[in-house]
Formats: sequence, structure tokens, C-alpha cells
Amino acid sequence: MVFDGIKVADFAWMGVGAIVTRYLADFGATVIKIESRTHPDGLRFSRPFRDDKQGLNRSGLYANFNSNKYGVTLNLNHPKGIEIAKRIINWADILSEAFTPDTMKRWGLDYESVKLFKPDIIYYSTSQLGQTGPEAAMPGHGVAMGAYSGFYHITGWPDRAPSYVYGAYPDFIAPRFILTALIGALIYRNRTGEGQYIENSQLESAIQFLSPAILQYSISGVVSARKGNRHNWASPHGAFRCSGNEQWLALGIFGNKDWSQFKELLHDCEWLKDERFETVLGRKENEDELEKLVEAWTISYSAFQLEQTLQKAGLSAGVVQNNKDLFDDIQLKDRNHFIMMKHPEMGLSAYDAHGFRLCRTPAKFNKPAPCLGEHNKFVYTNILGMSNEEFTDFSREGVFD
Amino acid sequence: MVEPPGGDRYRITEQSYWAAYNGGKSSITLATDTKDGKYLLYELIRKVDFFIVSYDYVDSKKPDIEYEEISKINKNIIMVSISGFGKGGQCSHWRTSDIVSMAKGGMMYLCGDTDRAPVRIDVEQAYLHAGAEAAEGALIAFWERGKSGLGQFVDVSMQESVIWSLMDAMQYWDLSGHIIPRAGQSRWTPNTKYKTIWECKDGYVFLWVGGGVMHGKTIASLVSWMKEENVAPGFLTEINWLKFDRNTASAEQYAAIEKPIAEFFRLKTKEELWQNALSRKMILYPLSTSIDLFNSQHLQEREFWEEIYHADLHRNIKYPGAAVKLNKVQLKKPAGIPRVGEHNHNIYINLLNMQPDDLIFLVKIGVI
Repeated sequence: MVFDGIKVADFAWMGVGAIVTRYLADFGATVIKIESRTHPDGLRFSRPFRDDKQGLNRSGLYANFNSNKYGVTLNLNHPKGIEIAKRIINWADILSEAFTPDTMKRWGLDYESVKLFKPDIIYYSTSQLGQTGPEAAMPGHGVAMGAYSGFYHITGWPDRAPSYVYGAYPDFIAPRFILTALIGALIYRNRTGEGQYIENSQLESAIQFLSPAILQYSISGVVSARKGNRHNWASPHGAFRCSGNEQWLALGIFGNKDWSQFKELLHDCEWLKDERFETVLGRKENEDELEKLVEAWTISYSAFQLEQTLQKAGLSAGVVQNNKDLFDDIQLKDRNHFIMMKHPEMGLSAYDAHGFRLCRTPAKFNKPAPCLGEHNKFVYTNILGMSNEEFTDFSREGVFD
Repeated sequence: MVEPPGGDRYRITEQSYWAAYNGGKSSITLATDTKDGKYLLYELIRKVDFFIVSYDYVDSKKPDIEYEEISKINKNIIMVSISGFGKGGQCSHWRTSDIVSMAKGGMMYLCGDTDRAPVRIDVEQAYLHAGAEAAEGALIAFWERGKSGLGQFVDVSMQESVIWSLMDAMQYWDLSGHIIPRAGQSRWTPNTKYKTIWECKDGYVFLWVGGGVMHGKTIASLVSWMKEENVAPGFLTEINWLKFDRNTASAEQYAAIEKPIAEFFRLKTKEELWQNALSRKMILYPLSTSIDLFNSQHLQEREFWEEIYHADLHRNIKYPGAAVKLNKVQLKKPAGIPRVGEHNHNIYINLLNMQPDDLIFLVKIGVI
């Protein structure tokens, strides 16, 4: 596979760091995920749990970010734990960590310390505000970063408070930047033999996805404001209620060609003859009224039916799908987006495929997420080369707690 | 980047968006829908590592080039195709746009007020999720090419790229059969919902009322601050916040707790709340605007902002810097936002060995 032979010492916990190493694992890297029994990865405590029953090996969120990895426990507060950590690092090509700044330093496992015994290590640190700067030590998480980076301010209605953007939204932006940098570092190491330190601030990654708003201010001094679902030059553009409970159709009519096509579909509606709606400008100027008229039409139909009809006519339309709808989505089924793997405690459960597919060397999904410490014996004896006696002694001493 | 003669229309209709994602690139113009244009495009494909195509959502034009074709002229080429629903499948030909991808990808359903339509994020996100996934896929293919000597086709679905941003939403259905509703300014859980966005004197802030090491410490500090100002009701000071469990707290409990906190916040400015969050180490964050980010001392000290030249505006603009810092490799600073066809001469003449007279002729007949 693509990353056959690449070895990863994965100290990262929670979302961002784990997602990065998941990409590597899915494409064949050997990833050892390091936790501890006294401080397991915080995601293990995060809902949802299989059957709503909490357990360290029952979190769907943890599972989805940790497929294809080996899981071990290691007590980094035990002096021998640090020595074993160093053995893992010596074995690895890449080290990942996502603790608050200086945590790895307290264990003597920061980049400056590690490079002394492993100069070709590729080491990445991700944290919400970066390793430096006056706010670096602030506590927080991806949901807070969604607010701080500016996503909430521009989501919602102009006449109301901003809306919460679901989940830890910036946590799903940062991994893309880290992974591309990691591959660059691997290529650099191939050319030079040298390792690299990669530092990521999740705030700075999030801002990349808000650059248009930033530049709008930079170029014209305009501060972006909430506008519901409206578009600068397309109308109608929004989510329109359909028949049934919470059934909505997302629709975008871009330009007059789309409008002609839309009119043909709705030919029975008298209001379509209104000259005010014949131009883009006219539709924008009379948008309030237009949207009401469109919804008066959509409300009589099922969103799924309208989606089919409008797409057949070459228009940009789609059901606003809920999380259940995604599992019934025919395109996602045809593309095998949800990969089912059997987990020792969770049973058969779904993992996301990636947004991209490599057609000749695809990702493979061979292992569900590890249970806590599931691979201790295998990793410490088979991969790190400990003898059975050594392994047993360390276990007895609490080194693997 | 290859633009049609006259330039990509989004330079005008989406000025900020265009500027945000085209800094540092070379611009050539080419009418790829002409015979001569397609010939020149193939000549270019012989010389490059990556060929990236996406799909114009306004006129639904799809590029008429298949990987099987171009891999015959360049076996090393990595072709990256970004489309609404990916290749293959019953909906692969469907038309999309940002709002449709955010809807079909599940994010839109989860955002917005309960008594109004679901909302998308105002800056178009679906293209960016797909673009970011495409960059990853392209580089993974590039790494693989280093081993095999062969390029390949990388197929990117906007819908699937958006799904990755849903955090735990799929698992809520898959593992416990919950359909997640949108909850306005609150966060939904199976038991209740709790406030996330709070109004203050001049804006809004983020706070979760929760327990444990993370949020429990924050609320304890907040209540302590409220007590210093004699506005903390007795019951708030009596709760053991480290043990408070938001998964079992009832809607009534939340309502009682949130009321005095909301009143307290309404008397404070965003800046005052933020300064106290910093000094008391609370997970209490302002909802930033572009102005707030530009003025952020933290971002300035991290030297995050760049200044680059915008050729169309004839001046420098402040621009976000890179999302990562590397210690051995200096990331190239964007040279500027290119003018339409600014690099025609460099690419056609120097890279493709075109004669200058031919370039002039092809410009005249609208191929370049």
C-alpha cells in the first residue's frame, strides 16, 4: 500500500491528531496509538456510545478516528514508561502529538529532546492556538475554536443571534493541512535524510476556510454578516420547506438559463409570469416575495421527489439530509462511503471512507478501532522486540498502565 | 491555473473568494473547448505532475478529458477530478453547488434555529472541503508515484468531503438510532440541550456549562468571578462543578443555571469577557469577526498575516499565512494574485517552446 513501511508513534489524542494518523493507517502505515489506562484518550468518553451505553470501547467518535491502528497503553509517568516511549519513537518515522503545549516537554519527549536521539524524526504538534503566542496555553477544544475562528458569526439569520455550527468544525479542517505537510516532510527526508518539526495551530487552519471573509474586509473594509442562505447573485437560493416533518429542499438558481428551466418545470404557477422575476437583479430585489412563492410550491411535494425532478431538469437541488438520510443515500451506498467493520465490543459499525479515492492504490479498511490496550502484547513483543519475560515484568510493574 | 480567455468569471463575481485561493499561482489563458486549445492543453499535460479539474456549478460544464486518455501521453500524470458526487454511482452526473453539497452532505440539517430553515455557513465551505481532500489525495498519489513511477486518477466527491465535518452525527444514528436536530444557539444531546452562544453587551461569546476537568473548572472560575461581583446566586456556588454531568442534567436544571449567567454576560463586553477568560483560563471564547482576527495580538505575535500584491487592485492586501510551520522547509510566500494570463509568455514560450508569433496569433483568434 501507499504508506507501507511508514511507522507512526501516535501520541495524539482527541480529534485532529488522530484523524491525521488515521489517513496514514488507512493507506498502509503502521500506526501505534499510545494511551494510558489511567488517562485514556478523551474521545473514549465521548458520545455516542453503542446502544447509548457508556464504555471505554464503545464510543463511535473514538472509533471513526482510529481505524486501522494498533492500540497500546503506556504509563508515561513511570520512568520505564518514558524509556519504552523512546523505543517506540526510535522505531518510528513520524511522531504525532496533540497535547496542550509543553506537555510532551514535561516527559522529555518534545521535538528538541527527541531529535537528539532520533534526528530524522518527522514530528508534528497540533494544538488549538499553536505552540507559541500569548494565548497558546489557553484551554479549549474544536467547538470553542469554531466560535473563535469566526464560523459562528457568519452562520444564521441577519435578524437573530448567530447559530452554532454543529460539532468541532475546525477539527476537520486542520488534519488536511497537517497531512499535506507530513507528506512534504517525508519527501524532504527522502531527499536529505533529515527529519522535520511541523507545528499546526487549529485556529490558523480554520481561518484558511474563512479567507474570503477575511479578504472581503482586507480588500473593501466590509465585515461579513449573516444572511441566512442567501447568495450574492443567485436567487432563489436557500432551503425550502417541503411536505412532511422537517423536510427541506436546498435549491440554487444561478442565472437566467437556470431560471428559464425552473419556469418550465413550474409552468402552472401564475407568479412566474411576473416581469420582476425575469432578471437576476429583479429576483434579488424581490427576493423576500420570491422565496415565499417558491416555498408555496415546494410545500406540496416531498423533498426527495423534488430533488429528482429538479436534477433531471439539470438544476442544482438536493434534499437537506439528516444523519439517518445519509445511510439511506443511494450515491453514498453506490460509492461504499460507509465501511462496516466488526468491533469486539461495538459489533458491526460504520466508518467513513475518505472524500477522495485513489483509483489504483486505494485505502483499505482492515481493522476497526482498537480497544484500550488491545495490542499491548503484539506491539511490545512482535514490533518492538521485547521478550515475553520483559513484557511480563513491565506489566507487573505498572509500566503499561 | 488555466483560465478561459478573458479570465475566470469568478474573479469578478466572487472577488474575495477568488483572491483567497489563487494567490501565488501562475495564470495562463486557454480556450480548452477548441481543437487548438485542447491540443495545447495536452502539450501542457505532458510537462506537469498534476492535472486538476473541477466542475463549474453555474453552467454545469464538465471538462471533457478522461484520465485514460491523458495517461497514454503522460504515464506519470496524477489527475485529480473534483465533482459534486464523485465518479460512479447513480447520482454521479447530478449538479451541485455549495448549498446542495452542504445539504446532501448532512451539515446543513444540523445548523440553524429550530423555527426556521436549516442554514449553511455563509462562506462557501463545500468547495474547500473538497479542495482540501483533493490536495491530500493528490499528494498521497504523488508519494506513491515516487515508489511505482506511475500516476493515477484521484476522484473527489464534494458530498463525501463534507460528511467528514459532521463529527459524531453518523455515529449517533449508526450506534444509537438518534436523528440529530438543529438547536439554534444550543448544542443538542439525547437528554437535553445546553446553550453554546451567549449574547453579551456588544456581541456574542461561546461557553458550555459542563462539568469535569475541562468545563467544570471553567464554570467554577466563572461562578467565582460572578461571586466577586456579588451576582452569583447561592445555588450556583453550591454545585460541585467538577462532578456536574451535562449528560444527566435536566432541561430545568440547565434553564436555572443559564439564566443568571446570561444576565451576567449581557452586562459585559466581548473584550471584557475575553480578557477575564484569558486571565482565569476559562473555555469562554468570543465569536470573532474579521476585525477581531486582524486585531488579534496572538496572531500578530505568531506572524500569521502576510502582505501580498493584488495585481488587479494594484496594491497590497493583508492575507492569511500558512496553516502549518515547518522548521527545515520555508513555505513559499504567495507572490501575489496574478493578472489574467500574466504568465502566458513564460509558460507557452519558455515551457512549451512556442514561437512568439504563434502566441500572438493564438491570442488574436481567441484560443489563448
